[in-house]
Amino acid sequence: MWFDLLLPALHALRLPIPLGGTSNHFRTDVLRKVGAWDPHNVAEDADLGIRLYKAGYKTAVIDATTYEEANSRTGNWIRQRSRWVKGYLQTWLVHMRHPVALWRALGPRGFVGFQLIVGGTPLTLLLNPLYALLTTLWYLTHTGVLHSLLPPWLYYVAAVNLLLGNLAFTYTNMVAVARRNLWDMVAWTAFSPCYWTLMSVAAWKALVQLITRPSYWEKTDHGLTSAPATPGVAERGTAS
Amino acid sequence: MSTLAGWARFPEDDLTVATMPRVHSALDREPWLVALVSWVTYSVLGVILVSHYGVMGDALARVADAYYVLFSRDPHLASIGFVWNPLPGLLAVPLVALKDFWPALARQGVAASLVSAAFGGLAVFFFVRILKRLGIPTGLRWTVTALFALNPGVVYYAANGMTDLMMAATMLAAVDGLWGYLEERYLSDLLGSSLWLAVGFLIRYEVAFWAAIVAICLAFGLARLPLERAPTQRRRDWIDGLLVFWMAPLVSVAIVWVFLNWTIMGDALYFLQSSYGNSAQLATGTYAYAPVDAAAGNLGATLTYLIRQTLLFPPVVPGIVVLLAFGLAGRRERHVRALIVAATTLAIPLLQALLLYRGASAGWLRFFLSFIVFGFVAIAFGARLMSTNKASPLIWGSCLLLLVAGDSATYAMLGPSTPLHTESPSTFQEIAPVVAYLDAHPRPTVLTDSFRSFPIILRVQRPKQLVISSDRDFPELLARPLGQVDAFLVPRPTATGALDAVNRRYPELWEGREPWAELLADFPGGDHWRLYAIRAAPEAGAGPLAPPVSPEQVAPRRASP
Repeated sequence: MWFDLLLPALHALRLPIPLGGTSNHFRTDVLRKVGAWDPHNVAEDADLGIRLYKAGYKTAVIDATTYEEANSRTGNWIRQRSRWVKGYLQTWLVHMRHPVALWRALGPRGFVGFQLIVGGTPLTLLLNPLYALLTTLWYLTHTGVLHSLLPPWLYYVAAVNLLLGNLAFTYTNMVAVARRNLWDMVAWTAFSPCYWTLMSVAAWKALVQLITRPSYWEKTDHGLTSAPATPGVAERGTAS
Repeated sequence: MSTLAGWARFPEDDLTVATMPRVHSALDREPWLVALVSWVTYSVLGVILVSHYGVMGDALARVADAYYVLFSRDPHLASIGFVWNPLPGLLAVPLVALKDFWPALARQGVAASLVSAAFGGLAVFFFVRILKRLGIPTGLRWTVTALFALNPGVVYYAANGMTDLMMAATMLAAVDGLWGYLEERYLSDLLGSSLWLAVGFLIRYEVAFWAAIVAICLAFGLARLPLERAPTQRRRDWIDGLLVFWMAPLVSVAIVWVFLNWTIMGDALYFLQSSYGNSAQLATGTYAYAPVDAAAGNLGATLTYLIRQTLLFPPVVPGIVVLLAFGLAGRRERHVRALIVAATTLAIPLLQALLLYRGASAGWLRFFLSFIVFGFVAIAFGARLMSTNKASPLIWGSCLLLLVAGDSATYAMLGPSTPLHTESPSTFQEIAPVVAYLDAHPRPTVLTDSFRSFPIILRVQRPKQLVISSDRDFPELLARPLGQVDAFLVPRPTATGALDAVNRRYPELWEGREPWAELLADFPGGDHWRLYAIRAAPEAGAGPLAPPVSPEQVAPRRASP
């Protein structure tokens, strides 16, 4: 979904692409020119993607697959995702130190894309559990307090997001695995909301750690599968 | 060689998704052009039809649903209703919003006709695409398309604002996508098919049954495909995954619908068992019709009824026989495609047979519209199969003759002397005195159940004068009207009038046996409306408590589950 659908879409829309770390190819002179990446940022790839866009370079997605081992242990997985979310937050904070300058550097299109992808991803993950809690509270109590909290039209928008938004994203995951001919995995994508819940756990961990240990690198264990990875067992993902 | 490439796990087998860019040709414009012309024609015909011959009750009721959303005393989206599927009403909302520029959109129900006409254009669009997929030569394709687009059943249901052809259009679209996927393995075709399936469910519930039947057919057909290069497990995963992928949007939309019914109406299955729903209406005996009554519990009579309905488009019979025979005779993709069309033609009539047997359908002719739409596909498919490489004049000549005969049969069956069970459009003569009275008396606040009074609500000058059943305070005001509501407007409590919320709450009111109410006006004819002024508080506990009253209880949901 990330590599087959989302990144090509960002590319087609000419929006900044936060690089994924598995397999990137750079021209060394360009890398030197933009000052490489921020060594304090734990998602240096995302930071570099924005830097390149700022400097007017294009990132393209090529039609080749890099396989890596799936991170299949929950604790390990949450640590890895929390590092990514923390890195996104860092990237967002660092580049937003001078919003006007950023606007000028990225242009209106790039600025909006930056807000949605780099700012929006962690924000959504952080807010999701709060909204879920509010919704659950309403269904349990039908309390009128929530009605007076926000203007009515916002509830229509929220309902559309809750129902159609979640379904659309779940179905996008389904499309992504079908595109890879992984038909045996189609049905499992229905569990995407469970996956997002774990992402939210990681996001909150990231937020806390952003304050307590901003540059701490949550190491991801590898070699979880003892046998050498057979083709097909491996999944795509971003590097640690 | 990239041994780890995504498809390396499954070396190019017949199940691999196609990734080559598609080749587009100038001919791709053909479906668009034909659809555009049909759409405009159906829209114009719809306006003429509605203004000269009246509007179908159900079509007007959907316009009324859209009207409450914007113009009622308590405007809110849920007024769209929960008995009927929401999409036809929702699509009418933006049209009804323009009523100040063109009053007929709401007053005459023109909005419904414009919506169904758009789907008529869509039906023609996908019909042309299916013919192109069959590889039918240009001249023949145009002739067959013309015969389809001008079939009286297609024209009438595209123009009259009903949802039957709208549903058939989404089924054509879904079949086209499935065919495309089976033929070329483009995932986008399969995706389009599954999304149209979900749209279909938002138009009519029957689509769910059809999808289930087609899914069974697909599983059967795909399991028989001779795929030498695909291992058994891989093939099984493919079939499972494909069916899940295809049905997922429909199932999701259905779950959302049940969820909304539960959240808003307090009953997850409200749309099935509402006091205004299908079964409640049939129970009043309003739609009694001897052959339908005979079919209940009698298999022979049910089958006779079903077969008699093929009079609507008799060529469907040979078409289905050919496709079934062909579909079962081979194991390749084209045989699966034949099975899909056969299943599509038969699924909804079969559902009707099931419902008729259980005495749960009014058996209207329009429920069998798929005999026309997919009868055309079946005949074209059959003719294509029988004529080898070149178009054989004999085969195509008889095919065209069959289709012309079919069109004439449809024309005869839709006419006034039809032996089949049809509905007729209604005009506004019977409610005109009620509307005139309300317009002449702007002061009183009048409570009425929109179930039967929707044409009145659509036509009065001040709809905000009326407390209607989609208003959130309706149950409260119905129970305690004194000081809040000035009068009740009730229909005669016979036939579906008995389902009116006021009649259910105060069964004696219409007869004038409630001491707290005084007859203000009597409007004989039609539903025989009466207007009663509230003079005192109704006795506590009078009558049974009204069941939850819903937004849409507009018109009789004339059958269909």
